[in-house]
Amino acid sequence: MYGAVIVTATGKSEVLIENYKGILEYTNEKIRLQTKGCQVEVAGSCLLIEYYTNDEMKITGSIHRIVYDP
Amino acid sequence: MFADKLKFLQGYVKVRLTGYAPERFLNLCSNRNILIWNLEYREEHYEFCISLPGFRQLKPILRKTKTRLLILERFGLPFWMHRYRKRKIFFFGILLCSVSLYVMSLFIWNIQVEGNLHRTDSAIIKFLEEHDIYHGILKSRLDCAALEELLRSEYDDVIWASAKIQGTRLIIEIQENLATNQERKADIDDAPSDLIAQKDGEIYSIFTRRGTPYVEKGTKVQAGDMLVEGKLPIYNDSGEIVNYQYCPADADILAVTEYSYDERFSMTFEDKVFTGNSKKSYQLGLFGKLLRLPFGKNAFQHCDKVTTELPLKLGESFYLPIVLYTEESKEYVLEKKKYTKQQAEALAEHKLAEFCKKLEQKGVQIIENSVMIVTEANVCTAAGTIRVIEPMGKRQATSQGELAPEAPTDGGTALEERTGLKTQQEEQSSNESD
Repeated sequence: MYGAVIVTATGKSEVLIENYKGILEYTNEKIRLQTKGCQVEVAGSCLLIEYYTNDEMKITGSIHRIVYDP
Repeated sequence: MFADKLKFLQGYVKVRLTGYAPERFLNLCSNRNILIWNLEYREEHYEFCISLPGFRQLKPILRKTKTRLLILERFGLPFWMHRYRKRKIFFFGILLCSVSLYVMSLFIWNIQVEGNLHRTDSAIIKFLEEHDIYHGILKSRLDCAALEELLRSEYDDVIWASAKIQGTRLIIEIQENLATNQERKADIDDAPSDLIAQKDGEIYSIFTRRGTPYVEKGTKVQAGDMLVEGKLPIYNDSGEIVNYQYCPADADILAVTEYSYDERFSMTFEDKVFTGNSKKSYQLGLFGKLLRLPFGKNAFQHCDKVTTELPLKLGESFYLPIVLYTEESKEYVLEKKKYTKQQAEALAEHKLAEFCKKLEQKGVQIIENSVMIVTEANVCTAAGTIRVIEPMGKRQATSQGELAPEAPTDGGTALEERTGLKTQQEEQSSNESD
């Protein structure tokens, strides 16, 4: 599906999110992103955005949950 | 890795973001393709890194989102250059030094010759200089193969030559043909020659290999007397000399000879007494020229000078054209002193011992030493003779004139024929008396 969000999780310490639209919320425990059709919430502790560009973002830290909110 | 290098070259800053809508700020940044990395959430604010070109585009975004930025740290080349902007000369110096080092390494600063036994280093280096190969020549102008060819063609006795460049040193290795030298010596030896006495003496022993001996053990000879003649008489069946065969005379002859020894020296002498004052002066050799440094001039009337040469080199073979000379002058005062009797005798004995040692080094055996040492008020004399056994015989070309015998001989005795002790004249006279 064109434009759908791609979430690539490596272990529990690294998540790469592609095709996101914007950052809604960012704290050490929670990162909420707007994507096409839903919101993605990455929850954990000591979360750090290693880099982010227009369509790609890399999150590191200790990840507990990845939740899709409709 | 490459991205890190690029970031360093561009320069980047670590900033703290505070204000009304930081999330909107971050979204706007990503919309405008401004790279942000290491984004961290701290209490009530964000911290992130941003490249210098990206940082310069932030002003409209900051105004729009009503956020504020605080620069925490600066990284990268542009900031580093700015920090050391007052040390341009230093960096220029580093650059100049490396350039000069490179330029210096393009020349030959040392020529080393190895394997030469008959030809001296300086002779070969002088020869090279005549053919435009000198200290300080550009390495690129040097053709090692041609140099090897030149050495081989110029010197007949060089049978193998190798030239190689190691660092700034030119190493020339040659192999000399020792066989030709020996052959030349043999050539000289082949010419007919006699052995004659070089000084007065008494024959101690004689062992003839080739030639006709004229002396025997116990014969007293004078300088110039014939010892062994390089001429062998050839007799026919009736015992007449029909011809002579010429050869180089060869014999081991030892003779008892005397050396007169006369050594006298004054009892007073001038002795160097060092005052302990010393001065150092420095000289600088640049490209083979000597520069005296202005400080440390010599002001002593009498002094011993010791010069130490210190060529500057980098590593094993990179000789720089700079030589530092340290000249140390030690002042002394001349004092007139007089030997005591014991001192004078010891000195005379020492000199005599040196003389004997020199004789022994020449292969001379001392059999009797009758030197008397006499010390007087003002002079010490050591005089006498030293009897020695020494090799005798000086080579001299044989005169080849008298080919045919003048008078027939009627069968000389077997001993005479074998030893040839009698000269021709003696043989004649004996014939007449017969």
